[in-house]
Amino acid sequence: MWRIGIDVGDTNTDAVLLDGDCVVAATSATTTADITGGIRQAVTGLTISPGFDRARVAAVMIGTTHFSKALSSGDPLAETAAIRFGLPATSAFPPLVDWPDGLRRAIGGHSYLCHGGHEFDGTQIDDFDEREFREVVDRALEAGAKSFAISSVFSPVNAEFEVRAASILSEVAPGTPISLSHEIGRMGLLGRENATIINAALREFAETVTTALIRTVAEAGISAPVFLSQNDGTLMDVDYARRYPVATFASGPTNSMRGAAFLSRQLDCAVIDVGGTTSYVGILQNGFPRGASTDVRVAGVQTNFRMPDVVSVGIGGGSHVSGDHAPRVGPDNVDYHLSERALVYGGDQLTATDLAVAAGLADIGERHRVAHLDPTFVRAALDQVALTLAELVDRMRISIDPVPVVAVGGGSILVPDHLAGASSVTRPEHFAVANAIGAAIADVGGEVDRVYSVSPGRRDRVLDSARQEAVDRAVAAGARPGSVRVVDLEEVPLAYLPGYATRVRVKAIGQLGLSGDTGE
Amino acid sequence: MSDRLRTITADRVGALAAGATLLGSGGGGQVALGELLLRRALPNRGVVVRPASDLPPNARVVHVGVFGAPDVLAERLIAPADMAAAARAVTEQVGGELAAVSALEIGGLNALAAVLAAYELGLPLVDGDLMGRAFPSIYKTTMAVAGHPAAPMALVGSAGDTVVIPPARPGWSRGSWTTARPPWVGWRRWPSIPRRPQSSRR
Repeated sequence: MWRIGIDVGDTNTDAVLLDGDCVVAATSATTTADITGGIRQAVTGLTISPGFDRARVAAVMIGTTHFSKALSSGDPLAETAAIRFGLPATSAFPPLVDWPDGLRRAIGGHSYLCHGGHEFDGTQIDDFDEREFREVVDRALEAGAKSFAISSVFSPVNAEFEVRAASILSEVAPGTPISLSHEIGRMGLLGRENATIINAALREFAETVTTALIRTVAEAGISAPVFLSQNDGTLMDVDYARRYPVATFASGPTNSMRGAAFLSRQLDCAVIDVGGTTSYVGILQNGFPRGASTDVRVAGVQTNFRMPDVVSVGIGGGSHVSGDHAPRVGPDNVDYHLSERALVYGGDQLTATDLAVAAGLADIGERHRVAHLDPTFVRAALDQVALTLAELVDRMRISIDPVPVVAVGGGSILVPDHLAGASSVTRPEHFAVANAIGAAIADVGGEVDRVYSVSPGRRDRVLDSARQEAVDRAVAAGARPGSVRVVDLEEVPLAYLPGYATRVRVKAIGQLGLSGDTGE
Repeated sequence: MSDRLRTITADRVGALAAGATLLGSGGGGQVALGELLLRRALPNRGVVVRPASDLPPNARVVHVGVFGAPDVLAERLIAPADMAAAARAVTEQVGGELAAVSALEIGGLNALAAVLAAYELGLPLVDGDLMGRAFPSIYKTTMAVAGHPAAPMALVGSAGDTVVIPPARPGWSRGSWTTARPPWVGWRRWPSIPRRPQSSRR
């Protein structure tokens, strides 16, 4: 069974062809503004490789930062109404309260509060006031809202208010996109609500992008289904992505770490990904990225997605190198103009890539153009890069023991073979396309995050039922039933509360069930 | 003492939140909630900070805080108006005028809750707190250790529903805590709980 993995980065679009666990071909193209041009070129690069057979491709997996970039630019966002059920509680924090002004303006700033929502144990804060809600909807439509984000206090415990609001909305304004917070985020009202509003604002744009992706793959003569990478490294089909574009936001780091694990066969290690402008370090635990324990901001908005825990620094292959005796690398960079601006390519800007060529670490461009560089200066600059990267690894390490380090990404030639605090440094084959490989090998997941009442003697039964629900969700999302396993279980008793209230989070993943897939 | 902080202004919120987080040492709830409200409120006017020794001996000071499970607060959020209502309810119990607000707990969200309550009431904030960090129960205060009662106490839920616990006999700090529990558990609301006023020189 063949899979195509595509990573649409800020500068490069990489594509790989995998036959089972074997990398058959890898290509790279320049990312285009509409993303489809880069994908078309990268996929074409694969299709012309010897022995390529379109009919054998069972799935195409795409990881893209396109939606998070769209949010940062603000351009393609729809006017969005954010409506929350929570009164008389939560009024000190109306929806959009913590949004940057520019972004709030970009989506129209339509923020409304209605009575209702639930307590942690599922009882109502207040009754659903249908007249109040209908009035809010009328006002929002009149103000120009084209998409709706609905949130409700404790909707992960009881989604009744959001579901009822959606049914009224689809009757009042048929065809208007509706995003419900219990389907998108986790516990924690503001983070979940913000993610829902971001999702709602991206729905129109997602329609355009997903349609273009399907068309581009079809035009390459590939009839296999198209999937997109999610924040946690699992897959969603393209129709799901159309409705939940926000789920793609952090797929980049996750994919490169999963790709690094696959390529290096290391399940527990630190991963350094050095790109054109930025390097980041994350930790793999049992083959999966360690999750961030704090809330993560996207484009200045607080969300509570489960994002991988990464630290980054502005050092990459395209970083400017300045200074005479005390060299400085980054954070300024040549952006996507490396192939014009770097010395080895005939440009006039000394970059980190030029250092690597001068030191004999890489053989790209024209070496004689960096022959004039003082070896002492080159050494000092590269040592400084190594020191910075070693510090990042140190910040992520939670044990005194040195960790194995896997270096991936196009700029990882800058990572030295010996790094302080690292027990080993590996740069696996195909390191430059680890991201696309991570997309290609992704699994399908299911997650449960809810407050349960765990009364004495019933813990096992409650956890079993939560596990089963996560497994069922993974299967519903397209996992092959026999392959699903629980990879993460967390139970946190809620302090001070009666009724043995316990928050349980379970995550299950399984292999994508594909036609022609006979299983193992 | 020229370097003493006299007014908490918007530009001090980041440092205050960082300090509260550090003193919370992983507990004490979501500081970000209080930080967000303060960043929005303080540009209008700052909150005056006064040392306890600046206040007259019989000045009424109410200690304010929010209590409940952090995961619940992250959904139900907090409301400065509730804290102000609770402070007023306590003052009604003892009569007289409220002179200032102080913090129950300096670790975590409650450090910022006291500033919010002072802002809401338009009163100065007393430079001090009753815990020096974050503790899990409201009777774990220096005043309780010294044998002073926790009551009078008032609890306010988000619908404005209020429970008042009148003054108790000295040394009955823990009793007030257990008395306070059933009502808020029954409402399933997360009230703001100003504790009793204390004279500034105690």
